[in-house]
Amino acid sequence: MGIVGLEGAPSARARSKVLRDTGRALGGALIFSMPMLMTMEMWWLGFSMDRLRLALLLVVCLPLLVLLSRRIGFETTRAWREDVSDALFALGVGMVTSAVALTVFGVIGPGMSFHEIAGKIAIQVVPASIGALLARSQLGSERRDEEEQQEETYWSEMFLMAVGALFLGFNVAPTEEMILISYQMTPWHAVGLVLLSLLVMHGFIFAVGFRGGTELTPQTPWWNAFIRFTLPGYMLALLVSLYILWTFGRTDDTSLEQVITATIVLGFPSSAGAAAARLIL
Amino acid sequence: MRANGKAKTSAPARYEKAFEWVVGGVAFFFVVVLLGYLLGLGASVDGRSPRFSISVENVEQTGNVFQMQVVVTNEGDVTASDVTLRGVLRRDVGADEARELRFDYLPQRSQRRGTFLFEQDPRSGATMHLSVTSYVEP
Repeated sequence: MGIVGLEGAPSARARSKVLRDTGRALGGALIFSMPMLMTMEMWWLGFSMDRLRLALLLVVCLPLLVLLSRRIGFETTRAWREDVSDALFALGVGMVTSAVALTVFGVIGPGMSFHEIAGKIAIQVVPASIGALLARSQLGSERRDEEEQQEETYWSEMFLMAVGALFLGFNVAPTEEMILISYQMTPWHAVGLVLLSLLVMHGFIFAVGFRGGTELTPQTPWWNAFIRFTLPGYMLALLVSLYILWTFGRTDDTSLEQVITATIVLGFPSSAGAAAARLIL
Repeated sequence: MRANGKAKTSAPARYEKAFEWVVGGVAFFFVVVLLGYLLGLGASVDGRSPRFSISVENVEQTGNVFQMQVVVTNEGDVTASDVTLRGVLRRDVGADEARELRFDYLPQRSQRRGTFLFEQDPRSGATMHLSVTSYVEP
């Protein structure tokens, strides 16, 4: 990390810390993006998707990584500058990981246009860089206790939910099955799926909420948490799902009811991701 | 889920609490509207089988081929898959040109675009026959 570089000549211990952090980030990027690196629809999207939407995705990704780094990251960071450098580092690790993996898979190689190669890597950067940032909380556990005591605001709770929704939604959104499911559903199925999503989400939120000195207790009436966390979380998950579908061009030339059904289908994994964000992130 | 800190009773915390309920109210409204829309849709949709309308978007000459872009709309209530579109160019003189297009999916009340390549100009001295020849229900 940049911190070591600023100190002048790095000691052996600092150097090994940098190596360990980089290794963790690479491992995290690989674990989190593996399913997407091995999905052919993701390769196709790399060259077929709208360039402006791809650019927007990367633009959205950066502040998301900065905020995520503020919440969890490689270090217990204080200054915004460090969060930005952490986010950029994660972005770089994500790019390198994707480029290496895709080259080894033969998905990118000589004879392909710059347009194709850049697109294939760029679309993988989002999950890979989130993985790189999360690596510390997943693979390194030394600061877990400190984190638990960190006070959660409503906003940071909602932010984590959005990241959880984006992450799980991104995992499944590129597959053909996601829209195929929505084609097979009638509006009645969609109503059932909305209710099921809310039920699953509320179960997660309640179960996770009980962990360690939080506001939710078994005495809290169920509708209290339902209105303050489950419903806003579900709305957030649906909005994130819609954004992902739009980014991948799944909403083009498609009727409103079909867009809504596809959003509800993707909203199922997204809402589970949002509710379980505390567990995953 | 928020830590139960001492600041809870202060004025900003009370505002934040009120804000949480406002957000919750908006989300409640959002979900109710969504469910209402779906229920209304469920009541009004009667499962009409797919029906197709085909229109020619534009014809463009590239080199010595003519690219004819067509738009197919599924006006039914059911998604059709493996939709095969056949275009036959009948000329006054010379042989006909027949081409086929296949769409993986054509969702209900949605459009998909495709392009036929003809050797001769479909715009002059020819009649164009476009039809959907088959589809599968997914």
